[in-house]
Amino acid sequence: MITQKVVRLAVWYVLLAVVIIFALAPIVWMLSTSFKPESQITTLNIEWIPRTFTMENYDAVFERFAILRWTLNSVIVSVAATLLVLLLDSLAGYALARMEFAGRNLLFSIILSMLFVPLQITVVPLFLMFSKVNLTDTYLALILPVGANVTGVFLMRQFFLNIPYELEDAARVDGASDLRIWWSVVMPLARPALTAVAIITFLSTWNSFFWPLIATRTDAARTLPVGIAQFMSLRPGQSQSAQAYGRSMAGAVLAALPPILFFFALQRYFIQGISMSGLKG
Amino acid sequence: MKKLFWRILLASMLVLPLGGLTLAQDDVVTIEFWGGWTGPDGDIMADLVNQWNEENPGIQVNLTIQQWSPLFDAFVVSASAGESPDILAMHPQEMPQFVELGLLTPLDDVIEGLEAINPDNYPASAWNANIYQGALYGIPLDLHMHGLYYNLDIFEEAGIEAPPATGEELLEIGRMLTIDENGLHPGDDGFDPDNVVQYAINMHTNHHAFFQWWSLYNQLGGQLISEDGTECVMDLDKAAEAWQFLQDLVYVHHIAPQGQTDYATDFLSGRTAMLIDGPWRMPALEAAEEESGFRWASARYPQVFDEQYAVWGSSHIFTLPALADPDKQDEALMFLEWLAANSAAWAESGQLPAFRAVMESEEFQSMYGREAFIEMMPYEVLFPNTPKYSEIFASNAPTPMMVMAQNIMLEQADPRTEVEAACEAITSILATP
Amino acid sequence: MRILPRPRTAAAEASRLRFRRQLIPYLFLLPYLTFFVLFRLGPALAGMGISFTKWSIVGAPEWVGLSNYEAMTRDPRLSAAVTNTLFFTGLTVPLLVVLGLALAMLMNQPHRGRALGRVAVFTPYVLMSTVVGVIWTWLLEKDFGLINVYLSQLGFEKVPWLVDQSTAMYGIVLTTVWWTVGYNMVLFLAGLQDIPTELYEAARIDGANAWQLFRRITLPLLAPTTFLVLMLTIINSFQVFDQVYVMTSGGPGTATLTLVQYIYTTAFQFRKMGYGAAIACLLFAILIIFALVQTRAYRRGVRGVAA
Repeated sequence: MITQKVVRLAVWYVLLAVVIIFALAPIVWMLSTSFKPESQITTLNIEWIPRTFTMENYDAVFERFAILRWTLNSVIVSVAATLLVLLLDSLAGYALARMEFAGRNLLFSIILSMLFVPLQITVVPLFLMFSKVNLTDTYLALILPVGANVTGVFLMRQFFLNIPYELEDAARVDGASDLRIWWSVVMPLARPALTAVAIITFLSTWNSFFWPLIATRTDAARTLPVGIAQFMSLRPGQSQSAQAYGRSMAGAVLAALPPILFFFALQRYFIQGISMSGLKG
Repeated sequence: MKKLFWRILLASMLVLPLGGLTLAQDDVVTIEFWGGWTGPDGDIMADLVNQWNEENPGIQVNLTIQQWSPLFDAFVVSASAGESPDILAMHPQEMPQFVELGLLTPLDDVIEGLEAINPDNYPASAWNANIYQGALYGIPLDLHMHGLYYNLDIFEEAGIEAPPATGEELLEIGRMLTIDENGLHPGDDGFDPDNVVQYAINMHTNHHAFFQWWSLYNQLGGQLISEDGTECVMDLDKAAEAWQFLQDLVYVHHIAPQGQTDYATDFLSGRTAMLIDGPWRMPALEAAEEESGFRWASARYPQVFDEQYAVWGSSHIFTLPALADPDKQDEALMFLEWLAANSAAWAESGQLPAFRAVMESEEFQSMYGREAFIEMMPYEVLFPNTPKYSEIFASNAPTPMMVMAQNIMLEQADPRTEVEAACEAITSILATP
Repeated sequence: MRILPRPRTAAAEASRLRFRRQLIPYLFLLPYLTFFVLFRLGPALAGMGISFTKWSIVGAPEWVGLSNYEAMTRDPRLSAAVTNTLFFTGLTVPLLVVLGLALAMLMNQPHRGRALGRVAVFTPYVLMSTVVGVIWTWLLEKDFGLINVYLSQLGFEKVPWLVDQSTAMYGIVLTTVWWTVGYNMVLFLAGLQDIPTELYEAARIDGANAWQLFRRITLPLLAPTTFLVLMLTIINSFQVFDQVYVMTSGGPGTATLTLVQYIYTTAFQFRKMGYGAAIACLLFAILIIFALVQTRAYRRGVRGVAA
């Protein structure tokens, strides 16, 4: 019995190590590059640990660019968009999964089909619209379109499909309104789904590049990816100009930290057994 | 928990419109200035802008930098809503497409009477590249062309005194400086082309391989697009000959690696003895010299074909978008005048300042490594001015030039077949309205 | 004990309430639909309209009828893009779905270190495409790239990756799997939480082994999630753009040219918004077909499980 437990743990740790190494090795290189002086990034042998450890890339990023402002913008935009999506999509997903009404399947199909339209085609009409109402270069221009996000609705609907009907029926017998049932019965059960929607929405808003590039013009509303692209170097074979990799990687590390922390904080909601304990209560 | 949720929601909603507030002061003119310098050159431009802003509190320049491609995307999309920056930087060959869309201001009248911005103050080749259909649309900031860099330590160790100046010399020196893991050179018995530890030369052999071809094809005296801009007039024999030389460097002589995207890295780390690249590489070479004693020198781009000397080149230029606020044009020009006169600092980026007084200054002429590039200036050949530039030449899209280059340099395709296909494709692009 | 959806038992409701009840679903949907129509459906329909015009983004679009669609029939680049996209999708989707599920199940184990594992798998997804492009073109370099250096140390032959037409797409696939598998893991992790632990305990008492638990409980109860993940992965794969644009720009030649890369190139770089929109409509049509097939297969699958 004990040996079986030991073997099981050993297998777990080996698998965990393999996964972590594969996932993080390129990122370790990125991290290490961000601490190297530019002249040492290009070396004959692979150097995982910087020969000379320097903060100059980070200093340059902070001194030369409004990175704190961009970060603030990104946080505000991503958090607001995430909350907006959680609210809209859980309401819509609930109706689509649990209520019967005329045109339900058609409506769901239409919503879903909009996932198939590439952003590249909708960007110009969207920009013209925001420009008409003088909302370009504002947070609203970055937040509102996220509210139309389809993935979240799809996700919420799929998860609501799985919730046992008994709970709703019980609440309905007690005379609870639909809104009440949605908020106090269904939403607590949907915590893993809401977590997934939050993570995915936050991330896609955080990393979104093309729309913010088009929609913002000044540091007042510019988000991190667009800001950081100001000093992001391509590989030399792809550009006819000089590069600054150390700084690019420093910017990348800074931009990655908030969403990693966000994910780390939320991932603990992925704990098995929530739906059953809800049933019992 | 619930209360907290609503509070956060409410709070974040209240914060929203703040982003829209712009803190504009009445008596300050703000000039929007867009450019594509995302490398260390961007720092130099930003420093120049900061210096101007400090000296001119009434005219504040706001510099926005993005990679050229997204920069132009943003330019065109905002133009569709009637908005434009006051100054937009680009390369001469990118200008005609925007002229055709009516997005750039003709400058001939605008620059009348200006002190610095005046054809007399610029080399004719740099100035004339900005003329499209008889009108001037750009003001040159700098020039840049390909040159040859070489590693002095490797050259001295091999006992080679001078860098290759011709195609034959390039092949000869190339064989001496290419070494496989057993210490053998190309042409030796048992040379293993799959395990080379040091290549003689590296250059754009991937996306930008056609930049090399452009130099060589022009050395053969080739033309690409007819005078009236309606068809491809490529001399197929010459075009194929130029490609053949480049292809053979990789696949016959084995003195250059296949499709290396990191050619600059390889040169700086001593894996390749020579590098063909632009003057923008010099600051990195200087830094390596300072920090780790890397020893380098520059030379003219080799003359591979005897007909004439030519080398690919281009330039950064300033344009004034037509949709910008006309009331700000004078201020924008004041800034550009100042920038031209102060472009000595821009030379730190390696680029060759186009403004004559700066270019001819003792200070610039004596900068290490610049000599070879200054010498090449009269011989630089730009890509032709055509409104279809991006459809034909864009290196980050499947254009005829990129497809031809990659097929020949990466897939070892037959140059003759490829140039024929490319020429056909170019003609059909030019024929489409 | 098996919990399965069953029809609502609200047959005996008063007719006075009926109208209100019918209204309620729409009220739930209204906030979302407002955003959806304004910021998604509207612009998308506008985009479809553009496909019947010649438009260089600036100025007024010029109506050209079906000529963009006609042009598509004699565009060799387009057929290359369709083939490449199908190839990419066919390769990536199984990898991403299977690996995503495997990683989710692994990272759902109640062992020490799983939070770290989850963060590690998810971290690549946090990176911007430019950064991913810079890192992976470096890793995949033919002569001195990290992967080939290690491959040759292990005695394997060097793979030309991005510089060869026959291998370039595999380089993109590898990058994509590394970059996005964390996304699927998150979705599967969320789905796994919906499966009541009691089911496993009951089955374990009945003497079921790990494979049977997976086959009989996890897989069937995870069906809605799997459907979701599969759909999203297919859609995302069909719309692959960022990594291609940054790493190869569709090359060598047209070996990695994908549909959305081509749409972007046509619409923005070449400023043929009309033609770009027409290709987008083609992509839309292809995806609709896929979705229909997918949904039908899923319904049949669910019925099979329920039976």
